[in-house]
Amino acid sequence: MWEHMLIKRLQPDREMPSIRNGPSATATDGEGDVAMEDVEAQEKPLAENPLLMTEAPWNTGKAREKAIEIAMENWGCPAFWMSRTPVCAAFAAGKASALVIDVGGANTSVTAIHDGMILKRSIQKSPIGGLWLSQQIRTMWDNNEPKVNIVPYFMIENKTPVDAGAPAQARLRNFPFEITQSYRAYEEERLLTEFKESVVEVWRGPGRYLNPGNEDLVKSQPGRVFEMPDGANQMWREQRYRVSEGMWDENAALLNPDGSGKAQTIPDMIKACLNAVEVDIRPNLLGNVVVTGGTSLLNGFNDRLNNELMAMHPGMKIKLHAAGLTTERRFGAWIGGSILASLGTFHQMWISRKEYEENGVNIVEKRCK
Amino acid sequence: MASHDVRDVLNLPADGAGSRPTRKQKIAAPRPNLKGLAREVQSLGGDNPIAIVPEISTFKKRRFGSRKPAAKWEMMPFRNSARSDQSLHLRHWKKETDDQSRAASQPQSDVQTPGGAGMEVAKANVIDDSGFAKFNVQVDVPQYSEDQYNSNLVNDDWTKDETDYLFSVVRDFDLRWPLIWDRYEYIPQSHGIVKEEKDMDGPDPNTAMIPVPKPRTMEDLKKRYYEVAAKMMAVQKPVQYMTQAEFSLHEMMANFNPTTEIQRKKFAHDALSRSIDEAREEEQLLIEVRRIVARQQKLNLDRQDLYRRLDFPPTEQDITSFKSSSGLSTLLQNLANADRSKKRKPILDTNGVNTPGSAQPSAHANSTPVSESRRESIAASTGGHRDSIGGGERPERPTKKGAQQQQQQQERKKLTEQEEKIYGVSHHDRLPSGPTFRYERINKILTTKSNAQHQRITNTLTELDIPSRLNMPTKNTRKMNDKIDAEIRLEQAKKAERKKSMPVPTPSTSTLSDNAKNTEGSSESEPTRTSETANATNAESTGPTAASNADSVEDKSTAKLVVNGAINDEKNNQAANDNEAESSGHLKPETSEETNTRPESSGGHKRSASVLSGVSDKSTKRLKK
Ligand SMILES: Nc1ncnc2c1ncn2[C@@H]1O[C@H](COP(=O)(O)OP(=O)(O)OP(=O)(O)O)[C@@H](O)[C@H]1O
Ligand SMILES: [Mg+2]
Repeated sequence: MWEHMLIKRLQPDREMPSIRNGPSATATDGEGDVAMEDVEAQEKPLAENPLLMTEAPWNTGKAREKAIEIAMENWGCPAFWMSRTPVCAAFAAGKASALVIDVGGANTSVTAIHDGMILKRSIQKSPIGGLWLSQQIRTMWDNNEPKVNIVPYFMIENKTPVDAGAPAQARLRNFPFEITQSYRAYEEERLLTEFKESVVEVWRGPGRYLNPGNEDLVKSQPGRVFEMPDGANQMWREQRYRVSEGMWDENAALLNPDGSGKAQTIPDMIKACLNAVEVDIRPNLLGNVVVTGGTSLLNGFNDRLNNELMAMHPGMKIKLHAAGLTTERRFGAWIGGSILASLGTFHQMWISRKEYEENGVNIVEKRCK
Repeated sequence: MASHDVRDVLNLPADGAGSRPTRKQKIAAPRPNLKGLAREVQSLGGDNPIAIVPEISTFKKRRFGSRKPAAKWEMMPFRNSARSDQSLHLRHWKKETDDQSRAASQPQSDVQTPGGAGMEVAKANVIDDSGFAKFNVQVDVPQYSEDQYNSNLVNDDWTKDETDYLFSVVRDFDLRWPLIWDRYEYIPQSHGIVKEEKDMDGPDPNTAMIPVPKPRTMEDLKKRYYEVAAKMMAVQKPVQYMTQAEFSLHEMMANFNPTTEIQRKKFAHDALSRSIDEAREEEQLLIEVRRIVARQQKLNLDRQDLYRRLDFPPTEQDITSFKSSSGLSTLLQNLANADRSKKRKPILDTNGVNTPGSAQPSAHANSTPVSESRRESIAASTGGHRDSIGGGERPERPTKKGAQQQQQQQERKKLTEQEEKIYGVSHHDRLPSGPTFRYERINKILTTKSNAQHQRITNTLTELDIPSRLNMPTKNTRKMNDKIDAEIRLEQAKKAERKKSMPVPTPSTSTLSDNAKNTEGSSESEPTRTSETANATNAESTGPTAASNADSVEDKSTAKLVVNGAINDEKNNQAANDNEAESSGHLKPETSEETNTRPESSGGHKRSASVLSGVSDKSTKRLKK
């Protein structure tokens, strides 16, 4: 509700962009191309408050310039600053130097932070994130026997309980209008997230899940039952480990029909990231690993990560910092941004309106490094 | 309102006085008496009463009981003086201060009224500075001008452009090298080259070669930066005037060695990429080492323990008191007590029987075999650094001394390289205190030797005709000698001339012996004339040559020269005059003698010419040994 109001005010007469990050003046995606005509006539919705925005570390200079332009011209901010999400996530964990592993929705990134700044050469990005995992689950459901149909909650009018493995008995709702594709996708994603939360688990190690013996061990243990909105339910045992294994072991990824599905794994990304930074700071980074992002909430994720790191760097002191609360993990960047903005010393960093007017949009590249 | 004014006049905080008593009350609030619990059980909790019965009532009471109003916060604008542009006024919540709280307590002149607005404007003029502005510190990056660059900093590998770029990056990232290296993206300025090529053969500018940026390692960057920084530091302030910190910084930057740095990083890299097995092996080795060290320490402790036990109390005191059995038992008791106070295992348990005996072995005359065997064992165990068992504190003594020496060494301030440069300190062999005579050194040899050796040395010396007191030539005598040498040569030349003119040969043994007598007479008579040692040497060396003494002449003590300089000169002159006066008579034969002896070996020449010079020569050689 609050979100809705906020976005309506910031982007009048336009459709809502997909809301992803919740409470956020800070997390607005710079992509939305705001109409620049009659800027003068428009209300300046943020005229009283300076604005701190977070951005992905690989954000392009063009996008950043556009962001400051919108903030200054359209919203009338008195001051503006842009900060990278991994930096903010590290601040949220109370670190100025850290190795930030952000396993989000659209992608996963590994970034080294030194003294509150990202090391550009260390940025690693891979599509394995929440959406990739969802795709893995879809593939698994498609290949399952019986095949699992995805029917989101809003489609179900009523249902009757059925036995495990039995076909669903539910009456679907009929809508007199067409349901937009995006809404359907959004609802499906909700369902998949629920499945991730309650069923999917990460093989904790040691070793990979596909190593001989591990699968049999899992098979001998109790599984988890998941009931779909339409009442169909099934016990998930070894599969629930399998879907997430592609994050760690390239060979374990389930292939989509079109053959895609493999992606750079998290250990590979960490390796690449560490190789791109100075040897001297590597031990420090390994001692300050910050885990953030919604998909890192998967069961067993941190155990596996720890095991992988230990295997990579035996004898090193490795310490993971992951917020305990779900919200803190998902909105780590927001929390870190608010910490940053309330630092007394941060005030000297703002790009003020005057500076913007004097230097133009490229000031953001010069200042927000 | 009146009370506010009074407070204002007295500079008292507006509500501070009112709040204090309440706080005290809170502290002194009596502990709640829980019903239904024994007093003993209650007191188990100490200061924190046992929370079995929820105390809801006190929460309520406290809430309403506090008369202090809630602190008022206000949105206040502020600026930050650390910003380059001062126009940005941000706002933050601040606790209300006196005057605002007074304004708030006067609803008549509320902020809404025009007057209030005026006040706001006035306030805005004195916007307070952010308390954090002072934390804005900048790293000091050295600057250089065009001229300075050209005169000091030119480097084949680095263009000025790239150096400028490096320094701007360094400034931007406040000397954080990982960041500097990460963001270092120098793109060489290609305009000049492109233009030149165009001028020369006019190709398409698109095809013109663009210089490829050199990949720079962190070490390259550091090396260049430190090089420039050190040079600029030295340019601004010569090394001699630098303070301690500056100097060490300068040294560090000037001596930056990229290869060792690279090596170090390689090691670090290897350490990081160890395999599990290697890591485990290293861990095991470490554990092993630790165990060995621990065992060694234990062994050392045991050994020390043993030594301490083997030591016996000094035997100077009267031992008759220990001769009786009761005396022995008290001694044993004392020893045991001392032992216990040292927190060791009681001596009684382990070797209680032996203790009294070993405590006073010298009390019995027939205890020598025992002590000797012990001596052997000790010598074996300590590597023979103790050759006898003496007083009780024997083993402690050297350690004590060592400690003292160490302390002294610590006390003596150690000068750093820079301080040495400043104060002009240089290092030599140990110098003797005060002026000494060189010939005295031979005495030192004699005194340090044992009696028999002393005897032998003096015997050989007398055999060699070396007096116990050596005489050495001085600078002046050397000068004189040279002069005389020259004269002799002159006379020789004259003589040769005369020989040609006068065919009758004059040389004879009588004149030769005469001359010998003369030289000897002069050498004997001169010392008798003056008791000055220097003069004696003068006189002695005037006769024969002293060429072999050149080395010893130079480092002759100058003190003597100063004292006797005047006299020497006089005497030398006199001697020279004498010689000149007699030159026709005496010098001729002398020169003949010279010619006779010249062809011989230098050793023989020395011998025949003068015993004394030979002596001094040998003595110097000996001294050198
Ligand atoms: N408890 C959970 N267990 C597993 N996955 C979860 C959980 N909660 C949320 N997710 C997944 O996390 C993802 C959202 O994470 P997050 O909010 O960090 O992404 P984002 O920051 O919007 O994405 P990005 O950073 O890639 O732009 C969704 O894909 C969701 O399915
Ligand atoms: Mg994210």
